[in-house]
Amino acid sequence: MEMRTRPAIRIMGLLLTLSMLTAAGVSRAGDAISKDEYRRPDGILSPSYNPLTTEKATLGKTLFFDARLSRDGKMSCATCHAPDKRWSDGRLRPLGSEHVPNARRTPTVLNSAWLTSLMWDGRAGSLEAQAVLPITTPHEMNFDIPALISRLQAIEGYRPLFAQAFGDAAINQKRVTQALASFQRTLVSQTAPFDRWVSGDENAISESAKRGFALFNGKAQCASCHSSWRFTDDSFHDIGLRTEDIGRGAKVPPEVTLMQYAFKTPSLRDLPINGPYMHDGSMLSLEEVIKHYEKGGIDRKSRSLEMKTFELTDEERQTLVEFVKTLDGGHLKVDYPRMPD
Amino acid sequence: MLTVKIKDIVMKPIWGCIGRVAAYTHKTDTLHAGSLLRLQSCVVTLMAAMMLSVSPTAYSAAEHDPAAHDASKHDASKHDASKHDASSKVYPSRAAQGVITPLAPGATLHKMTLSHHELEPWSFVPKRKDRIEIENLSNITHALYLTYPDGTVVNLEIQIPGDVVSWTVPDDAEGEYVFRCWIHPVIRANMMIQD
Repeated sequence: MEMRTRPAIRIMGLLLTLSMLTAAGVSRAGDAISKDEYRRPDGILSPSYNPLTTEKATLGKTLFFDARLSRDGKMSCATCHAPDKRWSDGRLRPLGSEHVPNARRTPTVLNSAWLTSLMWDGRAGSLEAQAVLPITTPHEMNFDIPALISRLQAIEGYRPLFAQAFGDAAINQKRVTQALASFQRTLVSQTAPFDRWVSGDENAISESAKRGFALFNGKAQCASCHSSWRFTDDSFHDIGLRTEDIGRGAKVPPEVTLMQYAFKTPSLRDLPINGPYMHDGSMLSLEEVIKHYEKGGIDRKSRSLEMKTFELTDEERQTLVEFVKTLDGGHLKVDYPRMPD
Repeated sequence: MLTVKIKDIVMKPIWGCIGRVAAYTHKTDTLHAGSLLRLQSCVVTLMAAMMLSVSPTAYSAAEHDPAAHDASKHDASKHDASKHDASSKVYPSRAAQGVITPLAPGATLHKMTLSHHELEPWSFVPKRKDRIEIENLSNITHALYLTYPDGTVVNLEIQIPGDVVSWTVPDDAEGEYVFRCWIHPVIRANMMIQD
């Protein structure tokens, strides 16, 4: 029994083509999902217990830049979260922390409206709760809330601002923290070249950066933790850094091994190009950071299971850096408020 | 790594078979039934290999022992974790103690899934002694725990992609039980248990 070759080859070809199309379709769908997952949201999130209003944000902005929120009147929130320093301080360790063991780098307050846990160890669950911490920390603003409230109540110029924000001029801790949180929620990264590319402008970023994006989601596995439009999963990982600071490990039961030496994943938007990077400011270039992830850091029980070693060529490493640079939307400037008397 | 090895092992004889059939066909310009049968089996195997290559995550998950972990009861040794903000009482899971109990008579097995950063919505109403299995369908590791109404915390073990963990509703359960992930605090599910 014989059969002509051509129909059999056609069937085989058809099956192979279908198989390859299926494989390609899966791969292509993955690409599309990856890009869309980084699309910026339209509005700003705010909790139902503290809806965002212009008046609260205006009051919060004044408080944010007011050094009278510190005991000695020399430090405001903006001292360490400065607009011209990407709303951080550009320092390896925060001002005043020279003698503090395991001091951690000042994180940016950009895009904090979307944070689900705050501070490097996640000890604050909301911006409102977080606002109290730097005010009362001894090596920071070193104040106490009752004394702060008394001081603000004595400043006549604050009364109309509180009245506009909350309906009457009463000043208390809840209103101060709600106003500070409201202002911080308005601090959103400006549109970056990457955002324009996600929106469809193919020329917004270079071909090299596009290859970097593919590596970011592929071989380098950065997206395992640096996910969403903010490039963070708001989660906690031990990335194998040499440190004595156990980070979130001090805030959760010791049985939770994975949280020892774990710190919150920082956003990759608007990074200062020369660092410092990592929770302790221990790295000063993106190349150094990438090489750390390639090697995987210290292999210990707590090290994140997402830390998988890989190897990049110099060219690949450079494309990854080029991609991260496309996440920079430039300085977010604000007009400095007039301090009330 | 194992996936690559298996693909190599599978693909080698396939290409060999296709090559031999192609050479014979080229030589005779015909295709015998035997050859066609071999060709068909090659195509089927080839498709299986390609399917394998497009689902590395699922295969990787199979490399890990998917044995379900259980954290059914909390009569284990107690740890004083009062200095931590998560809970005043923390217990290791039953799996950590090597204890996995069979499903109680009349109890129901419910299933939930964990996607990238959330527990997918569920429609069941759990009751005492029921067991809830949670499968990690994401490509990242999770570490779920439960907080009981009295503040007791029960860990459900580290859950790599594809892993299943389970929790058996305690005999005396009543009130709100909260599932959360140590690694990803954004993951949260509140479950009401009533008699």
